Amino acid sequence: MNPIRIEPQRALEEAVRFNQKLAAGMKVLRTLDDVSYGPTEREEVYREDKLVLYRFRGKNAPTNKVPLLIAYALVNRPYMVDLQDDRSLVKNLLALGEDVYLIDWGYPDQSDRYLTLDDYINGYIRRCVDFVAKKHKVDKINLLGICQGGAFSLCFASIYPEKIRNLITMVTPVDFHTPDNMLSHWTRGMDVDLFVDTLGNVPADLMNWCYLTLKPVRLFQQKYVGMVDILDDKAELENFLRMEKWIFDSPDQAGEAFRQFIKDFYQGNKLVNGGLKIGPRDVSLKNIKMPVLNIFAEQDHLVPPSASRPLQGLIGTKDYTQLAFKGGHIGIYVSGRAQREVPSAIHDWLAQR
Amino acid sequence: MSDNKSTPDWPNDWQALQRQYWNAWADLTRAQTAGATPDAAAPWHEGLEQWSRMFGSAGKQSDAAERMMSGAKSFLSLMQSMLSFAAGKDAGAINVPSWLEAMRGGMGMPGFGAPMAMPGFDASMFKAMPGFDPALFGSMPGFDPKAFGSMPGFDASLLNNPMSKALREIAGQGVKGFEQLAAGAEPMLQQMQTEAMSWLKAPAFGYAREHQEHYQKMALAFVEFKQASNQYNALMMKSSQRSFEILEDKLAERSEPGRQIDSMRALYDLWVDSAEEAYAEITLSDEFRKVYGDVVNAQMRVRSQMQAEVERIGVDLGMPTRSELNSVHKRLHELRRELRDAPLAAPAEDGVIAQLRAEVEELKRVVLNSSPQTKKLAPSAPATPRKPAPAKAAAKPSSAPAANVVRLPSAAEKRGRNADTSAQRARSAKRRPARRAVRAVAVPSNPVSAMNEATGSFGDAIAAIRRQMAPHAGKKKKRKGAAFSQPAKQSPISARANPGKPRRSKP
Repeated sequence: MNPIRIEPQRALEEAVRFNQKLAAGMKVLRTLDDVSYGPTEREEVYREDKLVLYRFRGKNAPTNKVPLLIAYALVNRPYMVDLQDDRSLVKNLLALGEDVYLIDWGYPDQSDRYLTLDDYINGYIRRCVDFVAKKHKVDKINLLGICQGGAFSLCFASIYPEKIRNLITMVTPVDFHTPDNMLSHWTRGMDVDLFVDTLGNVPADLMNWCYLTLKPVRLFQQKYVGMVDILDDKAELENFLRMEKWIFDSPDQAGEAFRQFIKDFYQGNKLVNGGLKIGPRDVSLKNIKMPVLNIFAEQDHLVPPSASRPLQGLIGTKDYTQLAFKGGHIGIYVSGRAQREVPSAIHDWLAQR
Repeated sequence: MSDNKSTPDWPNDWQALQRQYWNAWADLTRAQTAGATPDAAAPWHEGLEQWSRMFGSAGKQSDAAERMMSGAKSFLSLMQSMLSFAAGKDAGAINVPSWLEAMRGGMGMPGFGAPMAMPGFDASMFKAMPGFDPALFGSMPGFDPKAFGSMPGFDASLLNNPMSKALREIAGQGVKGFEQLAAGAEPMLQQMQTEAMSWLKAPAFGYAREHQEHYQKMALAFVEFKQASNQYNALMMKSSQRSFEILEDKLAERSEPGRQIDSMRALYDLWVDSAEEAYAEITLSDEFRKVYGDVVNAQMRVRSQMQAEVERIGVDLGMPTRSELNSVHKRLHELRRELRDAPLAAPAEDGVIAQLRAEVEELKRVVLNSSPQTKKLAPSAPATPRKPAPAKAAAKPSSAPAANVVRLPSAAEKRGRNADTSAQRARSAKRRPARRAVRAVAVPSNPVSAMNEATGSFGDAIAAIRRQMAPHAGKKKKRKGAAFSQPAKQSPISARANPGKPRRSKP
């Protein structure tokens, strides 16, 4: 039997409906202003170069005496964790009593080209951790690293175990050489020295294109066909546009840090193979003896679960917890399920420690 | 629609469908625009062009609107092509193999480089594709292959090769518009290729040899980039072909009643799944890894050569260059790091101080053990320097000298000096060398106190103590003391400030 049974008249109606939706939706689209994000109240508590450290304010005072510092990736803007009022990891953590800080790395320009991973990890993160610890009069704080920020957090916790009480990693790549890791596969044939020497900082547009070409038809096209379906729903459309803004609002990458990250992590897989040095300091995941919560997304196309799971066998702690979230790399922050599951999982885990 | 329509009627039915579509579209747009309704046979996505014009200024959301329109065009083109096959036939009785065959040529995978005059695109490859028959598209009413060339990741005219495009359009240092430069170099490149690659590797000589060599390198880089791009596009083509094989398999799974595809959207979604599967298959291969690396590296070599040329021009014009600016950025960054690391260096500095303290303690111990010397330095028998103390030091007499501290002579004592006996003079003469070195520095038997009281440097105090310990010491002893008072380890700060130089006390 013929697998396609599309009646022409019905197909025509489908096409006309599609046009109708476009017509109606375009009117809505034209009236929309630029989308806003980051609704949770926050204050700047520390600034250094282009980095800003924020402390978020919840409706109630935090109950957890140990502050939680979020270290986001360099490759995207950190407001993903506080995208909108009903999709905010930060807001939910505050509501549960956590005292949340967030590092905003800013937008590096050519003058930041020589920032290295040493600057980011032994410099910026260390000073932020020290600042937060001093402010709260504690020796150790809780650290939550996201994606590339998670890899940084692993390095930091390995170098400065005395400063971290509990470590949480979200969608964090650890083993960069698993067979399903498309990004890693692509970068391994690249001459990254030539690349950085030529480009200086790595342009954000190039990074975005690289991510989009991981699933090109879906991300370049199908997504926008789907957008037509929600054009007549203003709230849904705003959600879509907010996400669009986040996706394309990316910072350039400081050249030297990019060079080292590609060489040591993507190409050398040194978190697994060993031999990683951040500045003068050696990184060994075995030094991580504090409790660790590792959260990853089962449908993550950027950081496959297979890249995150090996953490368990590489760290020195016996207090290891793993949470596999049903969703993707972005859905883990913004989906309805994420709002219900992720903040409470983090809070409950911290509360037990 | 009748289930038993005779085949010769289908063009009429198709035209009727086309008319219906455009009538419906005209109804939608009438309120918005005075534009004429397009010809009934026009590609459906052309209607979207008018939407785009109409909403071209979609306020703050223009970018999103543009991306949406691009996706919508692709979808409508697919619908129209499907309907062109279905119209006039038994309801839904599309000849799947022939439709797939037709689509094979028209729906490219992202990266598929069709009619695009970009470096690296080889149009002949397109024609040589098995199963591709351009004539087929011409005979399909309403189907316009160009429609597939207008969206990123899908077809040709916007983005055949997303990665390649991204690389070309980025604003790298020193070279802003790779596209324009590449286009400018294309004629030269064509000529080079015609004349043979060997020319590019021929040795340069004569007055302009440097320039010639540089241009040769640039041209060679271009050729390599073009070759790498061809290889990349060939893999994208392979991915495109593979996507239809996968689609066929997926369609075969839906042949059973109840699982058939009954909407254009469902068919489109199935095609997207197939395309992504095929793409992942290809791009995770070892072959792709190499080709991807080659195309990126080749373009970086081209860029690098261009940057070098821009730099040369900049230097000739007396303009500041990227290299110079980078150099400044680098120095600034290193300075910034040094300043920030200073607090980190504090523990090491503490270590040096601790070492010095231990040294001082040791000296104290030695001094205290050498009782005869200590007694001689006791306040009850103050040393009376032959020369008066400098005015500055004399103006700040120690009001309450500590025990075991040699204080500066008071005015009365100075006056009394004239009454010194000859014996006293003789004793003073024996101590002269040490006192000359000490000058106005009060040299105690307690070195820490001496450091506090002295107006000279720490090194002076140490040297003075050593001399007190051995008042008749000659030059040899003095050198020893100086060596001893030098810190064994250089502090990180001074090491950075004076690399290769040992840290020294003030003279």
